[in-house]
Parts: sequence; C-alpha cells; structure tokens
Amino acid sequence: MNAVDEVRQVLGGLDPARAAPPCDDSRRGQVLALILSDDRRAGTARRMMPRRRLVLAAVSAVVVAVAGGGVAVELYRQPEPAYAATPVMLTYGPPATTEAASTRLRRLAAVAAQQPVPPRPAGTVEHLESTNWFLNSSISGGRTVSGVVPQQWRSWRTDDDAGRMVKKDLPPIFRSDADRRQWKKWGGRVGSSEEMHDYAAGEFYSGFRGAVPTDAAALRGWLRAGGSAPQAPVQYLEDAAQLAGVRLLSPAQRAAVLTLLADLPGITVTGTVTDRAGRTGEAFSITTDAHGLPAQYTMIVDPRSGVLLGYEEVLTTTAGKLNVTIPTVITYRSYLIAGYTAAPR
Amino acid sequence: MDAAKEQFTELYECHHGDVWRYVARRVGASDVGDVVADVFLVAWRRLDDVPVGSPLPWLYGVARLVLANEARGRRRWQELTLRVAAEPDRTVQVDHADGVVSQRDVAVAFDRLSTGDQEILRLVAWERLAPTEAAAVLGQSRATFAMRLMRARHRLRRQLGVTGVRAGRTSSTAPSMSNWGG
Repeated sequence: MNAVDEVRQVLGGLDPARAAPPCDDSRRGQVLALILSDDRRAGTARRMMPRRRLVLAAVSAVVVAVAGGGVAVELYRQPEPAYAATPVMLTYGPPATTEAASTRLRRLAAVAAQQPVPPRPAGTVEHLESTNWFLNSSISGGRTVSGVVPQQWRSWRTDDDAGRMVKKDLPPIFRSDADRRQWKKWGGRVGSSEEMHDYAAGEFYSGFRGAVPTDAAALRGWLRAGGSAPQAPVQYLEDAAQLAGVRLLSPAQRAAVLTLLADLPGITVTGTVTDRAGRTGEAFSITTDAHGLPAQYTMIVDPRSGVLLGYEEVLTTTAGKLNVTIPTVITYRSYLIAGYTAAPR
Repeated sequence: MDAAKEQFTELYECHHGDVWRYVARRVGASDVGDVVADVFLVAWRRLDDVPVGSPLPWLYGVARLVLANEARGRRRWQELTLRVAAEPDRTVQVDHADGVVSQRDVAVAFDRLSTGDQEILRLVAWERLAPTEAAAVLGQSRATFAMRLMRARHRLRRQLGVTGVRAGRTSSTAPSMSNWGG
C-alpha cells in the first residue's frame, strides 16, 4: 500500500464532512448572484468586503428582488446548528503504570488513606465548589442548543445536614459568533443567573445523609440506602461522582470510595489526563449500555492525594434520539474546592 | 451573460460542493457559508489567475488563506475557551464499540500532530488530492510535498504507537504498525 492509500485508509473515517449538510441551493444561488454583481475589475484593487457585510449584502439583494419583482422569496436565515454544542472531549494519554485498574485504584486508595486529616476550625461547615454540565438539562423542546452552559455549584453543609446550595449558570461558550447571535435570538441568556436554596436540618441532599462510611463494603450499602440494589456496577461509579459533588470526603472516606471503585467489575484504566481545570489525573472508566445508550463513565483521580478531581460521561456508539454527534460528552463534573469554611450568612 | 460570468458560473457550480466540504472540515458549521462566499469572491475578482485545467487546488489555496485570516481574528477567543470549548460539529460515526476505540485513538494521534502535518494529511485523506495537487494548494513543489507527506505519515504512526497501546487496549480493529500494511 502506498503512502497516499495508507493515509486515506487510516484517516478517512475521521472526515468531519462525510455527513456534513450541504449548502442549500437557494443560498448558493443567492451568493452566486451577489458575486456576479460585484465589479470584479474594481474589486482586485480594493480590500475584500468584511465577512458580515457580505452576508448582509446578500440579504439586501434578496429584499430588492422581492420589492422589484413581487415574488415571495424567503430571506436568508442563519441555519440552526445541526447538532447541539457539547463540551470538548478530554484527551487521555498513556496510563501511569501497567497495573490493572483494580490494583492501581487500591494503590491510590492507600495514598488517600495516608493523607493528613485537614484541621477543622471551630464553627466551620463543609464547603464545596464544582463546575458541572449535563446534556439532558441543556436540550429542551426539541431545539438544538448552540452553546455549552456549565453550572457552578457551591454548597455549605453542617453536620446535621442543614445547608445551602447555590447553582449559578456560567456564561455560555459558543462554537462561533453566529451561534452566539442565534442564542440571543432565541432569548437565551448570555450573562449568568443564580439559584439559591437553603435547607433545614436533615434536609440537605436527601440521598446522602449522615457520616460517609470509611469502609468500602459499608459505603456500598450506605450509597444505596433506601433504594434498590443497582442493576449495574456503573451505578456505584455514578453514585461516587454524585457524592464527591455534595460532600466533603476525609482521607479515609476517599480511600473507601477508591476501594469501592477498585472492586467494580468492568472498570478499566483509561489513562492519564489533564482535566477541565488543568490538573493532572489518572482516569478509570466503565463502558456499558446499562442506561440504554452505550457510554463510557469515567472518574478522574489525583494520583498524589487520591482526591477525586472529576467525572465524565461520553456516548461512544450511538446518540439515539439525542441531537449530538458521536463520540460526545454528555456530562461532566469538575470538583474544584472541598474544605471547611464559615457558614454563609 | 458575458464570457467571464459564464466561466465563473461554471467554476462555481462545479466546485462549490468541494470547497464547501474543504471549509466544513476546518471551521464550525455556522461559518462555512461565509468562508465559502469569500473564497469564490476572490476567485471572481482574480478569474484570470484561476488555472483552467485544474482549478480546485487553486481554490483550496485561496480557502486556506481565507481561513488563516479568520483564525487570526479568533485566536484570542480560542485561547480563552480552550479547555471547555464547545466542539465544532464532528462526525465520527461508527457502529461498534471497538471501532469507536480505534477511531478515538486515531483522532487523538491526529490531534497531537503539528498543524502543518495535519493539513498535509487532510489534503490527501479528506480532499483526496494527488500529491501534485496538494503541493499546489500549499505552494510547494511535488518533491517537497512528497517528503513532508512521508514525514507526517511517520509522525502519525509514531503517535498511534503511543495511543494504540494505552489503557491496555487490545482491540483487533485498532490501527497499529502491524496492520497498516504499506
């Protein structure tokens, strides 16, 4: 096989234009008419018109045609994006070691267990901060979403499960200026909004109440307390991801979480990764279709401390009825702050 | 219609789809139409410079410059949103999990190459240009392009050697040095 054939064989499947929507005929004709109306001899001596002016000029040309000929012509509209915007995929490098996931996670659990217990000043409460994004909360009404809107979660929790949770929409991130305009046109917010909930004693995050166990077996039962046993091992990985977003974990509790993950059937080493906050971590995944669509569920762990850094869900094979391309991120959590602080006023 | 308009209209109708796909491979979907319009506006104004027998590499060369101007304007924005940016529409459609793994390995390896190497490989793999045509797009001699293609291919292979063995994956469909042939 020669070099050209070889390159085509290996990279051909990645061609992003294989299924790209073609330009519609009416727009193609409008642009042709506009270009032909340009004085090409004069044009060579001057700068090309700015990009947006060209588009506006195309709209004007159609308006003139309507006024002059009395024919109904649909004005040029920026087409809706074909697929919802989703966060960039993380890039995973080679594993830190050749150890199997269960062995490596047990080693990280030991690292976690050896960390010093952070001092807790009197009168302080647990304080966490994370950035989260979920596809299911970003698509509504069948409308394709053109921006990624991460949520900042900040929480304060007392030992008797009272507390406060503040969820703030961060400014959306767009693929292009055109998407930003489309977003505004639909009435989407470009600034940020905030929701705050205060919880009385015993009400904060009803799923996880009381002390987090420091033994992996006990933790399994505690995570599912009040609920049925999970149908698939990946549920424990998801529970751990949820837990890390709402509870401050001591070194012993982190060790229990990592030991629980080590015991999950099907967990594999995904590799080293720089997470969404720019931190280096080791990633461990379970790939399963337990929830319908085949997906990879990944936990990212700081190898120096055993701290959970983040969590990712990626659709791997099919998008089902979701308006996204494959593979695509459908959830991420990035745990940023976990410590003790004064209770909020 | 005068001769120039006829010539340009034929050029536009024949190659609009090719230029559209070239641009769609390199920018977000919503910007493709604007960039393609710019490319053909340049072609109209420089119609006398368009090679009669083989205009496509010339059009790709113009598109490359238009995109470079576009990229310069957006660089600051891209730097700000590098980590959590929304991806441009990508279509890596495959049917089986093993296939996804191998496609992802190739995608990771490709992303790790320099932009120069990536463009050389794109022109060959996606635009399906012969080396002589691809050399014309980049304004190089055929010999220079052939050398750069060889080096880019070797660097891609080397990256695949790294990504292909990660995570202990043993997918039989993953590209590897042994099943590439060549």
